[in-house]
Amino acid sequence: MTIAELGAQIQSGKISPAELAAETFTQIRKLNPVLNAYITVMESSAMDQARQAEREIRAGNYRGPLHGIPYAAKDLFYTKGTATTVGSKIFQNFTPDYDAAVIERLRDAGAILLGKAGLHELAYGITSNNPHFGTIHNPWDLSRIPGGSSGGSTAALAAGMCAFSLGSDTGGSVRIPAAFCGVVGLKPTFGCISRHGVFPLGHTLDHVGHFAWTVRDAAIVLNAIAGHDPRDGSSAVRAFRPISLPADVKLRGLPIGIPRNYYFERLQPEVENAVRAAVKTVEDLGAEIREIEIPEIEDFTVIGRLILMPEATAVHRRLLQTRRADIGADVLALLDEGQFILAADYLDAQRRRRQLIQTFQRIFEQVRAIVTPATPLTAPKIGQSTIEIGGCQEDVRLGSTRLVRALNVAGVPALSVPCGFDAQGLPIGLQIFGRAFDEANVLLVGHAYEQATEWHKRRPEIAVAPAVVR
Amino acid sequence: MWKTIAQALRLGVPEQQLDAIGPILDSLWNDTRRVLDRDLSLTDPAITFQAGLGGEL
Repeated sequence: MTIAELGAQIQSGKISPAELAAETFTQIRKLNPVLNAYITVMESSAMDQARQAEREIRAGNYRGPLHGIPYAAKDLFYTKGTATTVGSKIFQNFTPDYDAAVIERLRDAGAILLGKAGLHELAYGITSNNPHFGTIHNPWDLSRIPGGSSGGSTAALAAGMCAFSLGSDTGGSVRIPAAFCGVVGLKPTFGCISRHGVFPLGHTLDHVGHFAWTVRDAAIVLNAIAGHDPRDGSSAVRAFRPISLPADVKLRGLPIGIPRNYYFERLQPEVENAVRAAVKTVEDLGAEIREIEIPEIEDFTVIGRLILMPEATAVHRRLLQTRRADIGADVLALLDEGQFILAADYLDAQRRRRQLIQTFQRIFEQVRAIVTPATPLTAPKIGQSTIEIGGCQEDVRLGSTRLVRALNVAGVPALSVPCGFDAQGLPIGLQIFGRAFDEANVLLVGHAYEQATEWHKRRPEIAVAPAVVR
Repeated sequence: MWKTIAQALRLGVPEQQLDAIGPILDSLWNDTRRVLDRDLSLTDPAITFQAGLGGEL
C-alpha cells in the first residue's frame, strides 16, 4: 500500500499503527538477512511510538497523513541515542545527542522510525557495497547493486521493509538508487530541506531527499519535512507551500523540454526506448514537448567532481591523516584524489556553477520541466567496475552519475520515477527536473505520468505479503 | 608529477596509492583544463556568504 492508502486506513481505524509496524518488522526479520538494507533496527522504540500513535488516533488526535506510517532513515541522519555510523567503521560507535531536523519533523508528523538504513561508506559512492557493514543487495536481483549512496533506503522500501525512506543526494545518491530499485526518489531544491544533523559530504552539494512508491507519497513526505531551519546556514529563507496533487491530472499545454544534446547519448537501448516512450506518454497527456539545448551541460559532470572532491576531502581530512586503515579502498582513493585539486580550480568550478544556474534560469523561462533518463544503465552486478554502453567501456560510478550530477551543481529539484523494466526485469528511471523551488511542477509531471502508467505498481518477487507492499 | 607534489606537500599518500590514482588524476587534470579554460574573473563563485549571520560579530 502507498502512504496515502495506509494513512486513510489508519485515520479510519481500519489499520492499527502498531499492527502495521509489527508486520513491517516481520518483513525486516525475513528479508534484512538477505538484503542487508538496515544497519540498525529500532524495534523497541518504534513499537513504543506506534502504540503511542494508536492511542493518539483513537483519542481523536490524528496528526496527518504520516501519523503511524513506518519509515527508514539513511544512517547519516543523526538520531539521538541511536548509533549513526555514516556507513563507516570509524563512526560505528558514534551516538548523537540530538536528532536531525528531518527526524524531528517526521516525529512531529507522527511517523514511526523503524531503523537506520545502510549506505555507501561515508555516502561517497554509488554501489552501497560497504566493506564494513556488508554488501547491500538489490531486491529485484540479489546479484546486483541497489545503487547508492542511499542504497539501503531504496532496498528497504522496494522490499516492503518500510513505507518510505530518507536519503541524501550529493551527486545522484537519491536518483540513482531510486532508478535502480524501481521507486520514486525526490531530490528537492538545495536549501528546501534542512541539513541540520545530517553528516556532510560536500557542503555546497549535499541535498536531503526521500523515497516512496508514488509521486503523491513523495509529496506527502516533502510537505512534512520542507521549510526553513535557522540551524542550517544553507536553508532557504522562504515559506514552503504544501503541494497537493489532483486525482485526475492533465498536462494540457504545459511546456516540457527534451534535451537534444548530451542526455540521450550513450544509453543502454532499453533505457532509451523506455524514456522515449515515457516522453510520448507525457505528450499524450497534453504537454507541449519542446526540444531544447542545454549549453555545455557535459562540462558540469566534471565541474561537480571538482567541487565535491576537495569538499569531501576537507570534511574527512583528519581521518585521512589518522585513520587511513579504517577507510575502504574506493573511498580512500577518492579522498586522496581530492587533495590534489587546486584551490583556484575549485573556485573557478564554483564560478562555472554560477553560469549553469543562469543557464537553467533562462531555460526555465521557456519550459516548466525537463525530462531525461535518470541513469544511462540499469543496475550493474555487484563488484562490476566497468560497463559497456554504446560500444564504449565506461566506469560504473562515472556512468551512473553522468546524467544526475549536474543537477546537484545547479541545485534544482529533480525526481526519478519508474518508467519501465529491461529484459532482465531491472527497473528503469525517468528523471524530471525543474526550476529552483518549483517542486510542485516537477511532482505534477511525475504524478501525471505515473497516473497514466502501471510501472509503479510492480513489486520485486522477494517482497510479498506485508501491507506496505500489497 | 603527482608523487612530487604529494611528497613536497607531505600529503601522506602512500606511493602505491599514488600509482593507482595517478592515471585518474591525469585524466581529471585534462578535463579540468578543458572546462575551466575561459575567463571567469567577473563571475562570482556560487558560494553564499552573509556577513553577520552565524558569526560572532
